[in-house]
Amino acid sequence: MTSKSLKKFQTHGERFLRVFKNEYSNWLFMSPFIIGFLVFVAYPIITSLYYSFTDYNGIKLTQIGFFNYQDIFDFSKFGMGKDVWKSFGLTGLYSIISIPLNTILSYALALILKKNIKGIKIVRLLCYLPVLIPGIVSGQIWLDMLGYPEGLINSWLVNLGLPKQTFYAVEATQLSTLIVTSQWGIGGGMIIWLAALENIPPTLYEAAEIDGAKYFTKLFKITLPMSTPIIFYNLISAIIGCLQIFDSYAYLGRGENDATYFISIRIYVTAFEGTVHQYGFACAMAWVLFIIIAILTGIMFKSSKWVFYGD
Amino acid sequence: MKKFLKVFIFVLATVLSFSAFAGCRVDNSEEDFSKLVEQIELDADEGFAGELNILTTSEESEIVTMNALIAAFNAKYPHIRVNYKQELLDGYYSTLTTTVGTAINQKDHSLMPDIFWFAQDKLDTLYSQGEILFPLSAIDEVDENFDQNALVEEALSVSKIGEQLYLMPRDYNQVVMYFNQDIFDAAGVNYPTAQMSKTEFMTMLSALRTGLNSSDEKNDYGVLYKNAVKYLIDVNSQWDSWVWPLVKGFGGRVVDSQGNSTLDSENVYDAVSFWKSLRDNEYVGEITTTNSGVNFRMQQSAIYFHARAVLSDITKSTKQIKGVQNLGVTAIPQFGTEYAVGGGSSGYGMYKNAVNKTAAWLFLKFVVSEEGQNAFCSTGNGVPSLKALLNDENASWRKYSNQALGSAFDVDAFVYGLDGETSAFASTRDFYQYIPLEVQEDVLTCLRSCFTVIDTQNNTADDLRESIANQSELIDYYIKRAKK
Repeated sequence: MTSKSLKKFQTHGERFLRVFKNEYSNWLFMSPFIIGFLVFVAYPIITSLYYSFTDYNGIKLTQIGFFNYQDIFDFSKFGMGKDVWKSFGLTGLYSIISIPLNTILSYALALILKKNIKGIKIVRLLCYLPVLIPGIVSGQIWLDMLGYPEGLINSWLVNLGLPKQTFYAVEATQLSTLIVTSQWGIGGGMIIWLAALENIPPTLYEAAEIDGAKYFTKLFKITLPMSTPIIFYNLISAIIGCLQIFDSYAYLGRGENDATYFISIRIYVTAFEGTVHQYGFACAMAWVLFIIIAILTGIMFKSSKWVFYGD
Repeated sequence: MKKFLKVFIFVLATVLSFSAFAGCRVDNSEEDFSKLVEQIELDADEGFAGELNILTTSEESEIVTMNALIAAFNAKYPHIRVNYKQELLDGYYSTLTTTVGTAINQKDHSLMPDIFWFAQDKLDTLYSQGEILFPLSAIDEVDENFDQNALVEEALSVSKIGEQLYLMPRDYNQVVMYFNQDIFDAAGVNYPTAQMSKTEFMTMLSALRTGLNSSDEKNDYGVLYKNAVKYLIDVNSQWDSWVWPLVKGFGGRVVDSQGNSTLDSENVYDAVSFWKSLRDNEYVGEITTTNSGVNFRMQQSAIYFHARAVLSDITKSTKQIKGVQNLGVTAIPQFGTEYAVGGGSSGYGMYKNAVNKTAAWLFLKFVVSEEGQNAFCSTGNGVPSLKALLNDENASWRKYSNQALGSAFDVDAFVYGLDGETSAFASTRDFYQYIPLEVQEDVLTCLRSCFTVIDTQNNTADDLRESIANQSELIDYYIKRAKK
């Protein structure tokens, strides 16, 4: 080592010590998060990337290479590709229908509940209450209510002279039933919309009213543009959340003929079910899912010119 | 932006560097088992003091068996403290492999039990995971007090990988035909026999259905048999000890000695269509149902195909389940062109890195000793794996008395067809030996799928043939992929 590089090294070391000495209390306060992040986030992320290139089964690994990724894209007659991408497709389909539906319904609900009328806070609370019920519990409740042929809803239908519906009982209606029942949690989105709507300066509406603007003009020209940052935030969260849907596994399993075998469920089953645990393949699928989510989020950010952040 | 590019290029380079290892295999050269064996005190005797951790499933018959074994073991080795735990059968193997992984990663082998129960059908899968099973033949070679040749050949053959013993076979199991004498009496039909042909068997089922429909007899729950008995036969149609012998009995084979699929044949089709005819007549329940035995125990089925291991479960009477109180048993008839009966063994394995290896080995030896086998057979749930006892006409497993056993309980049914080279014994080991370890379960699933398809579509003969052809092609795909 030359004297110049040694000097540089010393300088770096001295600087580090000086910074640490002056700011150690800051580091000390941040250390719980930093340690937690390193142990529970960074390490698993790096390890899962490594495992995705191996055939690790929780006990040993015998091969390293790209074979897991090749299997994910193996669309030959018996290749894994078709099954894996069917799960990706199902997850995508669920997201494409569920996200707009949830966004529109929760926004509409927020618009309705924004009005300052007597008792509105209680109504808001009632609308939000279902969010407090864990997804697995509410799923089980829906499963019981929508039972076929003897569930509560079906008995109501019969009393109304309507035909019984299969709901969760058959493959054809399982996914659509799940999409409808998942709207049970629109109260969560609603509460965020309400906060956003409350923050829109009333002066804008007053000025618009003076100019003769009606309800829909105000809605499309003021309310919607002013709440685009929250729409954007909600969309990003919903995309990430929907693409990782997993709760349904607790009460529906993989569904009839894999009708609700979403990608997160496939990852879990591949890694942890049965006697052979294919951690390597599960990690590879998880990374592909991560890349898809990252690309979609990136596209959302790149095309976010419609988001209005004020002045 | 420059920093981001640097990080991105670094990550990309790291990922791409994995390509350098593409197809690399980590060294799997032959292990030297002698170092493992050195950790065992081979001269340990009755005075040996230590601890032993055992895990089995939480099924009642397993608990009864293990408690009997522990009691007898502790009578001989009073200074070994046994800690016995159970896990639900559902998820048992998954828990086992997860725990091994945790024990290895944390380098804390006390997390794993020293001894654990498993059935022969999981031997290859557990072995292929690595670091789970202790090679028992390696101890046999140096321990003068143990000789595996004293065990029944059929039980041993399914407990080995190659020449190495990994499962200490506690019992010899073969599938028999249990029947409820009361239901047959109610229908006015003669009891089944092993000598029946397939046609006679089908005629008997038809007569049974007709007889029950015109009978006013009730089961112990007060329900008319004609209403209680929905399916005449109770069987786990997905059980490998059932599916494979059925196919073999019709002359079907899964692979040839080169590992090429031979599933696509008329023989396999005949086996599948035989089962379909039972389904079509509602003599058996859904193929996909694995929870077998309940209907029979609830007196809702006349016949139950299973092994000796469940005998006490069948006859046990509780407040909720009255059990079968007039139980008959006979060997399985020949349904196809050759006689094949599913059989195998279950027993105990030793964890490769067991903390208490000496105590574990003492226990395994005890299980297959005369004392251990007698203790096990006293529960009624076992046919011994020890040759001397199996062939002994006066052995305790033959003398097992239970008031629930009816007049037509033929104890020879449990060893019917077991006669050396002409043995009708069939186990998945028959074709597993030609298939790479890692795809054996996949191949078995293909075999099962030939039957499950009966329930999942409105199938014609052509549909069944097409399904078998597809599964055959899939088997070839799995094997070729594994070999590659």
